Order: sequence, then structure tokens, then C-alpha cells
Amino acid sequence: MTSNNPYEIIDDDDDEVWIWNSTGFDWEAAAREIDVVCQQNKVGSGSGCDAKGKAKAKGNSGDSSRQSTLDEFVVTAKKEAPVLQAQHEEEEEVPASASIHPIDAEAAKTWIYPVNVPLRDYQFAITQSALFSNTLVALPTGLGKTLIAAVVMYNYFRWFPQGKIVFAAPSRPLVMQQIEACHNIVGIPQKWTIDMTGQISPPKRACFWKTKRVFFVTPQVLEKDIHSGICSVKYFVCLVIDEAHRATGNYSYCEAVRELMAVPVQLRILALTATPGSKKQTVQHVIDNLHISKLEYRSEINHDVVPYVHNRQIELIEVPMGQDAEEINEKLLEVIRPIVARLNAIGVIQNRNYRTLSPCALLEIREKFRQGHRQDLSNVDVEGYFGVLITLYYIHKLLSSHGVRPAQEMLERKLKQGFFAKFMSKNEVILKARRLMQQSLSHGASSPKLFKMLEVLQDHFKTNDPKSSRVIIFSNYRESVRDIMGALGNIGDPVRATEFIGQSSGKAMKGQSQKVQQAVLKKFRSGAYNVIVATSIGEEGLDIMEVDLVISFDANISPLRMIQRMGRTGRKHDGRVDILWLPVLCIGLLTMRKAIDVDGDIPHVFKPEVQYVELSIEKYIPREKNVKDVPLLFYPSIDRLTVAEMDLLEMYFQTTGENKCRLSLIAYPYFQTFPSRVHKVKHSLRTMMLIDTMQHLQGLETCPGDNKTTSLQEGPCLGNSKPFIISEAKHDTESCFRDTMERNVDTVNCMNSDSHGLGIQTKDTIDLTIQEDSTFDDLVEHQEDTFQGDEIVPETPDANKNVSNGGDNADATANLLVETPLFPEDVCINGIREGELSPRLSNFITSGVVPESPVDDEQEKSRGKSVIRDCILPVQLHKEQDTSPLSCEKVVIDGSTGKNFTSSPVYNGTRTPLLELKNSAIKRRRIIISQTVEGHSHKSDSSFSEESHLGSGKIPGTISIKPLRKFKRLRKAEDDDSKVNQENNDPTRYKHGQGHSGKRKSTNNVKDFIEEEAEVSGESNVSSDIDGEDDNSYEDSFIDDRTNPIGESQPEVSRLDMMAIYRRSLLTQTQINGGYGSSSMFSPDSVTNESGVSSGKTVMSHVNGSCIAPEKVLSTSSPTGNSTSHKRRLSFYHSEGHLPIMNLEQQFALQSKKELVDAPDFTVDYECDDQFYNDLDLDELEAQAISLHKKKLDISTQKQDTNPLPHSPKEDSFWCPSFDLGI
Amino acid sequence: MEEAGFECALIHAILKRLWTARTLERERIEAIEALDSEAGAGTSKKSRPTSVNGNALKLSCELIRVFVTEAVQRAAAVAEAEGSTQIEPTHLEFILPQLLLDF
Repeated sequence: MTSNNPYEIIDDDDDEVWIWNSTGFDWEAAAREIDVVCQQNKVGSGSGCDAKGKAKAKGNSGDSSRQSTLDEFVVTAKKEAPVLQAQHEEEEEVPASASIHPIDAEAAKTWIYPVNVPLRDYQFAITQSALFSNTLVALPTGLGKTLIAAVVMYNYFRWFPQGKIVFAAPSRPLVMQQIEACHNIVGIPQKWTIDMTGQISPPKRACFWKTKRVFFVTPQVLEKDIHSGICSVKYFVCLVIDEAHRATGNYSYCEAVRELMAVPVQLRILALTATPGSKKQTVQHVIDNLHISKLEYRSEINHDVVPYVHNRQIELIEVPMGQDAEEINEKLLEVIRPIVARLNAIGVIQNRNYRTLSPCALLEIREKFRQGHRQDLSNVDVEGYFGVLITLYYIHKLLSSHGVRPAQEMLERKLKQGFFAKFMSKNEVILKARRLMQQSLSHGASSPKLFKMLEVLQDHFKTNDPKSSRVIIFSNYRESVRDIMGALGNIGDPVRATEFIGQSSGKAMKGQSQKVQQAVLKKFRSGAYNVIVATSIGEEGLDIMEVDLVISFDANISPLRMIQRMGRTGRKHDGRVDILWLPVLCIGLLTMRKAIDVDGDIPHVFKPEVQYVELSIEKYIPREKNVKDVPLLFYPSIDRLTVAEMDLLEMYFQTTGENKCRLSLIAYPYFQTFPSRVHKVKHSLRTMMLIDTMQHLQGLETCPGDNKTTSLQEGPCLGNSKPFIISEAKHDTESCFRDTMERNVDTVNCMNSDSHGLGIQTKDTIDLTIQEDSTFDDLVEHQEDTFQGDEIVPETPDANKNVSNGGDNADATANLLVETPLFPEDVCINGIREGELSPRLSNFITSGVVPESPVDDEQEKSRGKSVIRDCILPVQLHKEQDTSPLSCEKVVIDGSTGKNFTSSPVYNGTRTPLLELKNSAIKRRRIIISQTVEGHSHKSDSSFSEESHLGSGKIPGTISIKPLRKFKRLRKAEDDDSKVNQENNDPTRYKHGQGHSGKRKSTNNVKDFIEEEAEVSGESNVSSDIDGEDDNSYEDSFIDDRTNPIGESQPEVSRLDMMAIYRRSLLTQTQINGGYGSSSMFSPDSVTNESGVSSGKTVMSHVNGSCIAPEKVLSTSSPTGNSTSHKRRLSFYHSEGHLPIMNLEQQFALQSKKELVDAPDFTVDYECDDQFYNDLDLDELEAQAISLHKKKLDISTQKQDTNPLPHSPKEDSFWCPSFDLGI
Repeated sequence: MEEAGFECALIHAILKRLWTARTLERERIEAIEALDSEAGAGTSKKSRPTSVNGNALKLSCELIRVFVTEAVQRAAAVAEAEGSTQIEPTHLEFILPQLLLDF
């Protein structure tokens, strides 16, 4: 390329394209300027070659001409060139608004051309140029303009991740058609596209403008929205204008573009039309209005288009006027002649054959006349003549092209009013004509054109399959449409015709709403109709492939419209156009020449390379506002159910009564500790939470608990207890390792879902997951690593606290705080249980201390973090701290049962403050503990003495803690008794809590009994626990309980009976206790529950409920089967929110003093809002007690094998209706 | 490989049964409650059995299909792991809690 090249090209432009001509702008100078600037920049940046620079210059010129009005060109050009240079990463069109349209640099390296449809060279070429300059594409109908638009849009969609693309089409059916077509071509995701017509309210549109990226709109909508500013104009990157030949005058297209340019917005404009205009002038207007810089014109004879042009046979069928019409016409002309003659005499009308005058010509003449003689009084007459003449000619035209009826209607209308009526009502000739018209109409004689048309149609359907062939009949007037419809209705069968008219409701007939139009087109496409009779609404853009015949009922319309009409056929295969009665069809086929091929070198820093891509396009789903209800088609089929089937139904779905067979949800708790294999449905978040919880519950919980304690210990006793910590840690790791391993496996499985859930879940859950992760790490690494992982774990509770604090959940926080103290105890217990006593004795003692310190520590932390927390807390904490060390010392010193009591005070101290903070939760705990206290004391006295030194020392420590609490609680409980009664009244609210409390009661009682009869416990179970087969033992016990109830349970038993049974059960619970103790599984579980609880999800509550339920079951002994079942039932119902609650309460009220003690628990529950957490706490306590029992059992070698639990067969458990799922 | 779904008729029949049962239940309760207050309790709109619209029913069928398929597949996996060739209720119980939570 030489440096002259750009100028030459521009010269060419000058010659060829009128737009530039018209402005008379000095292109050469402008280009030179730009060139210079570009050159300089090029040199400066040292990038690119000369040719490129020139290309750039040229592109710039095109650019500016496109982006601004020509008048502003000089200014803009100068301004823009440097900008363009500066912004390297920008598309040529983006420079000024670079900040607004971030460009995807990666995507901009290529532009994509789909090869889903066979590639056509001309489409490709046009697309290429349309991508990089504002282009007017003039392509004959049916040659795939939409594809070009779609590809351009798609590429802009890719390049500008935030840019918005607008496709404007002049009518709603077209909009709908184009959105689907575009989707099918390039598959822009439907979530980004939206079609908007005037039917969507502006606020809604505003919303769409914000959220969507590709808009298919009507120009009116576009104009209005731009004007009102509800669309973010500055994000526009591409505007496609369909049927661009309309962009003249003040049409919405022009207005919209004008407004856009005024902003100014940098955007690519692509205009599509088949008929840019019949005159250079109009084409130029379009180009002007749309700021087109390049014209891509293909005619049907262009070599690259020819192969794709289907043969379109145009037949002109001249239909002579009918006899009647002829006569009437003569009359009309008779009327016309004298008037014309008169006007002629005045000299207004040049001597002309009156037969060739047309309304349009008359209008023009009148215009001229008016300009010439404005003040002339004689004008009045002349004006009148003109009016009359125009009307007459109009009628004449109607008569000739559409038949008698429209003409007659017109005449009648005119005769009723106005000057015409005054002037003509006395004219005999016109009256005669009128009479003639009426006569011919009464004969039913209609235009011979109609006959001809029917003939043509019938011929057509003889040779073409009426099912696959489509015909469009165009007519200019709705009146004739109606005539045609009437005529078509008579010929019947192969023709299924409908009308397709605009929505404006005229005087004579109602228009079609756009909805109806849509329906019509849809049916036409699908073949429900094979003929549509359309007014001009059907002329443009309708892309109906199968149309193979177009009948133009009237020919005297503009050539442009004629072309459009013809364009409706021959799109897929050859078509035929019949033009009826065509006087002179002077389609001045556009004399446009192809605009010079400015060579395609475009000054982008990004030079997109074409990339042919086979796009996978999802099926287009039309947007439907209201999905229509599908009629119940199956109703008849209901009868298809055979009798046998009905019987089956009867069997399984009894209209009355309960379902007999229920699957147990809790039969295999162990299996819930890892995600089950899935088929297609992935595990939900809730499932993952369940799994988490179950893992904790299944004894895996020891790890986290221990970990926490260790970490906690570290915090407080950092300096002193380091060795101790280590030992503990080892201890923990040892004990937990197995569990961890298992869990880790599970965790690995869950990892995906967990991490996946992370984003979605609340912080709480995240914390949970963190725990999981840490465990995971443990697995992968060694024990030491595990230890570290454990260290991490402790943080989670704190985090939870923080979260809860932040989240205004004061209650939650309090609960958490309360819960945390419990951990240490558990830890101790665990340690005692599992550890080799002698070496760690000292450690244990320390550990006994430890629990307290951690608590304090945690509290402190929480205090620090929870800004909103009560100020009281810190003070209390301090107190506690003070007390705790003391107690610790004591513990160390004593090492015997005496210790228990000493240590216990400390605990109480710690607890009390907490209690004050959280009255409800603490109260409850106290109460529970108090119940257990009795048992504990017994234990310590009797069973513990028997235990080994070390064991006793440790156990007492833990136990002692409890007793103290118990005492306090006892007091409280008594206090609360009165409250209990009051609160019993609202059953519904506290169902959950009640259920739990009921369980607790039983368990507590059981414990007491157990403690009294500590020896009763089954050793076998204990051993199994130790082995880590807790599950089994648990299940066994579980099963026992269940099986009995199933057989015997009678929920409907009267309350009194139940009471009796209940008492009995309480009395007989010792055995149960043994079982309970053996099922140590649950106690740890409860601990884990707490951690799970921290996640604070309702799901968890459910889980807890379920977990607890089994415990209950366990607690109740098999002998008391009835009562147990009863109780269980009740509790279940509670958890599910059923009515039975009432019974429970009453029972409780009736119960003996002991039970009264229990009752207080209930009240406490009521008091606290979140029964949930409270329940958890209770569980913990239970768990502790249980673990203690277990230990006892373990220590005390096998004394009795009398445990009822082992007896029960496992299989029974499967069918136990443990849980009313409500399935 | 998509298996045929449930027939709308079947699901509809089942749903209808349940709804009828519920309605009967409700009517009974109401009858007891409103024995003296109102006579024509059964005719009120409230007590008419629930009905289902076509789309909802189709959707229900699909949901149930997915649910059952998933249940069977999961249970089958468990059964396979156990080496049995028959899905027992136990197998269902293994997977039931998680399955229910998944849906």
C-alpha cells in the first residue's frame, strides 16, 4: 500500500456514495490530517507497519463519518484519532467510551462465524465488513440478512462482556421472529436476551434494560426508552436495525439513532433492508439518518448471490374489470370529466387526460396550487373541486383495484357528510353510479379479480400439497381483505384461510391484537392455516419458508412494497408471485451500485481473526408470560386403571387408616455418617449437615471435642501445662484416630459438596466445613499432623460464636457459651475411658482442671468478640477464673472422691454466671443435672469406691461437677414447678422441647436407677462400646425398645393407663439404664450435636430430634413396652408438632413427685426461646451421665448378662416404626 | 435410557385418594366441631377435595419418577455392596434419611 491509497479510496467513496457527496466535505484533507496523526503515533509507538497505519487512518475516517454527523466530521476526526491511538486495547468504535465498554481482550482476537448453516460467501463478506463499520446491508429478500445481524451481534456480545446489543424490528411479530432466528443461528444464551415490545410496561422494561444484554425491540420502544432514559444508553455497543428503509423522516429509527448520537454513544450500527429505497435520495436519507459508513449491496444478479436466489416466477394476470364495474367506472369518469375540465380552464391542471389522473397526482397539484395562490378567494371553489376530484379518483381507484363494494362504501361514506356530499348529492350521474353499485352488490357480483384469485388458488392447490404449501394474499385494504376472506370461505376444503391485519381498529372492522397476530403466524407456520390474507402488515420481514405463492391483489402500490411482497416467497424453494391486474408495474429497481469495496483492513489494535465455530445452540424456548394450563388430558385415561390396579391402590393407599409399613429413618445411624452413593440427584446441603452431625454423633465426635479441649487448654495453661497438653493430644489422637480415619474417608467423599456448599451456606456451616477440612488434613497426614489439625478445630467454636454475635443471635451465642463448658467434661470422660490411667493420672487431674479454664478462655474470647454481649459477662468470667484455679488445685490434691465435690463448686461458679446470662438454657441444664445428681452421688458412693484409684479419681472429677450443678438445679427446679403448670398451657409452641424433656425425664430417671443399681449394667455392651462397636450395641438396644412398642403400642390408650404404665416404666428402668449406659454412642453424639448446633440450622434441629428419639427409646425398657411406646409416640409427635402433646403434659402433671422434678425441666424449656439449644445441652448432660455409667460398667467387670437389649433380634429393628416421617 | 415416567392417571388417582381421605378427615372434625352451628358443612368450598391442574400433575409425576428412580438406584447400590441381588427394605432404610433430605 502506498500512502496514497487511503485518499484514493476515499475518492472512490466520494464518487460512489451519495452521502459523502452531498455534504461536499473535503475528504482528502481530513484523511490527510488523520493520516499524519496516525503516522506520528505509529512511529512513536513503534508498532505496526506503514500499511497498518494507513489502514488505521482510513478506518478512522470511516469511523468518524459514522460516528458523527458529517458536519461535525472535521472536529471529531481530529479529536478521535489520537484517542484511538492511545487506547490500544479498544475496538475502533470504542475509543471514546473505553471505560464504559470493557473489551474482552481474549475474545477480541477472533470473531466467530458460525458454520451451523452452510457458509455463503456474500454473507461472510458482509458480516466481516459489518463488524467493523456501520453498514447498511441491502440484500434481496430471503437471502439471510438475519444471519448477518446475528453473527455481528454475537461477536459484539463476545467482545464486550458488559455491552448491550439492540436489535430493532418494526413490528412485534418481526421481533418475535428475529429473536428466535438469532437464537437459532448463534445461540446467544437466552438468559441474556429479551424481547421487548410496547406490551411490557416501562418499569419492567427498565428492569430488563439493566439485567439483560441483548434486546429485541420495536423501534418505538427503543425510542421511548432512550428518550425517557430508562435504558442505559452508554452501554450500547451494537444496534441492528431491521427493515432500515423505514428510517426516513421522523420514524422511530431516526429518532432513536439521533438521540444515541447526541449522547454520544460509540456503537456499531448495522442496518438491514431488502429495499433501501427506489430513489437515490431516499437511500441517502436512510444512510444519513443511520450514520451509515458503508453500504453492502447485493442484487439478485450478483454472482455470489445468484446460487442462493430461488427462482421467483412473477406472473402478471390482467383481469378485466367486470361489467358492472365498467359501467360504474364510466359514470364516475363522467362525473370527473367536467370538474377536471373546469380546473383545466382555471389553469390549475395542465391539459391532461382525465383518465390518467390519480389522487396522488391531484394532491401534488393541489399543493402547488396552494403555494401559488394563498390569498385568492376563488381558491375556495378550487379547493372544493380538488377535494371532490380526489375523492372521486380515490373511489375510482378502489373500484378498479378492489371491486365494487369498497368503492360503494367509500362513496356512501363521502356522501353522508362534508363538502363532497354538498357538491355531489345533486349530481345525477353520481347518484346513478351509486344505484349501479347497489345493484351489482345486490346481485352479489363481486370483482372478477376475486374469481380470478380463487381460480389461481385452486390451481395452485391442485399442483401443490395443501398441507405443505403456503399462500399469502396481499391486499391494500382491509375491506378487500374481508371480501377475499368471504370468497375464500366459499371454496372450502383445501384452503384454510385466515386474515392477518394490523391492530388498529377501523370503523368498519376491528383490528387484530398482536396476540392474535402471533397466533395467526404460528398457525400459519404449523400448517393450521395455509392461506393468509394480509394487509401491508404482512409485507415485511415475515420469514415463512414454505410460502410458495404470493398473490398481490392490488398492484398499484409502491415498487418497494411490491418487492417486499414478492420477498415473502421463494425463500426456501422456488416461488411464484401472481400480481393481479397490474396496470403498470414500474419497479424502479434500485439504481444503487455497490458501494466501493473499501478494503477490509481495519485499524484495530485487535484484529479479530475469523474463527469458524460450530455453535451448539440450545433449543429456543419462547418466553411466555403465562403458561397456559395444559388441559387435563389424562382424565379419560383414569378409566384406564384396571380393576386390579385400583385394588392395588386400595391396598397401598387406604383412604382411611394409617399406612402399616413404615421404613425406619433411624435404623442405621452409622450409615448416615457418610454420604450414600447417589445416582443422579446430588446430595443436598441438608444431607451434608446430617452427615456431619451423624459423624459427630457416631463417636467420631470425640475427636473434635478433645481437640477443642486441648486447644482450649493450650490457651489458658500455655506455659504450665505444655507437657500435659501434649499427652492429652496424643491421647486424643489415639482415641480418635480410628474415628478420624473413618470420618476422613467420609469427609473426602463429602469434600466436594462441602466446599460447594461453602459459598452458599451461612458462616456457621462454613465453620463446620472447616472442621471437616481439618479432619481431612489429619487423615492425610500423620498423627502429629492430626494434632495440628485438631488445634485448628478449636477455633471453630470461637468462630461460631463470632458469627452468632454478629448475627444478632444473642441467644445463640449464649447457648454456645453454655455449651462450650460442657466439652471439657466430655473430654475428661473420654480421656478417662480410653486412656491408660496410670501414666496420665496427673494429666487427668489437670484435665479436670482444664475443663474450667477452657470455658473461661472461651468466654473471654467471646466477650472480646461480641461487642454487643452483656457487660456482665466479663465480670462473671473473672470470678470464674478466680474460682477455677482454686478448684484445680483442690482437685490435684485430693485425687479421691472428695475431689468431686470440690471441683464441682468451681463448675457451679462458672455455670452460674453463665446461667445469669442465659437463664433459660442454664436452668434447664441445672434441672437435668439435678436429677442426675442423685444418681451420681449414689454412684460415687458405691460404684466408684470399687473402681480403681485412677479411674475413681478421674470419674469423680467429672461426676463431681455434675452433682454440684444438680443441687442448684434441684432448687431451681422446685422453684420452677409453679411455672411449669402455667406454661403447660401452650402446648403447640414447645412441642419440641417437651418431647425432649420427656425423654430426658425418662433418661434421668433411668440414670438414677442405674446409679442405684449400678451393677445391673450389661458388661457385654460396655465391652462392645470399648471396641468401637458402639453402633451395634446401640442398635441392639434400640431394636429391643422398638420391637416391643411396635407390637404393643397403643397410642390411643387412655391417659390414666398411660400414667400407670409410665410410672411403672420409670420404676423398671434400671435395666434400661444398663442398656443406655452401654449405648455410649449417643452421649458423644450429643456433644457433637452441639457443634452441629452451632451451625444453627433448622435442619439440625430435626437431626437432633431424631437422634434424641432413639435415646428415649433406649431409656425405656422393653418390659415397659407399652408405656415406652406411648412415650415415644408422644415425643415423636411433639417433634412433629402433632396434637398428642396435651396428653403428655397432663401425664406429667399427674406424675409423682419425682416426675414433678422432671416437670420443672419442661417449664424451663418453655422459658427459653430456643428449645433447640437447650435440648442439645440436655443431651450433653445425658451423654455425660451415660458415659460415666459406661465407665462404671466397664470397670466393674461383667456382673450381669441380664441386659434385655442383647436379646432382641436385630432384624426386628428394620420394621420398627421408629419415626413418623409423614411420608 | 430414560425410563418411562409414572402415568398421570396413576399419580392422580393416588393424590385423589389422599386428598379425599384428608377431606373426609377434615369434614369429620368439622362436623364434630360445628355440629350445632352449621348444617351444610360439607358443601362449603373449603371442604372440597383438593384438585390438581394438568401441569402440576405432570410435574408431580416427574418429581415422583426422579425420586423413585433415585431411591431405587441408591438402594441398589447398597444392595450391591452387600452382595445381594435384591433390594430389601433395609437397603432402603440405609439411604432413606439422606434421600429424603436430598429432595
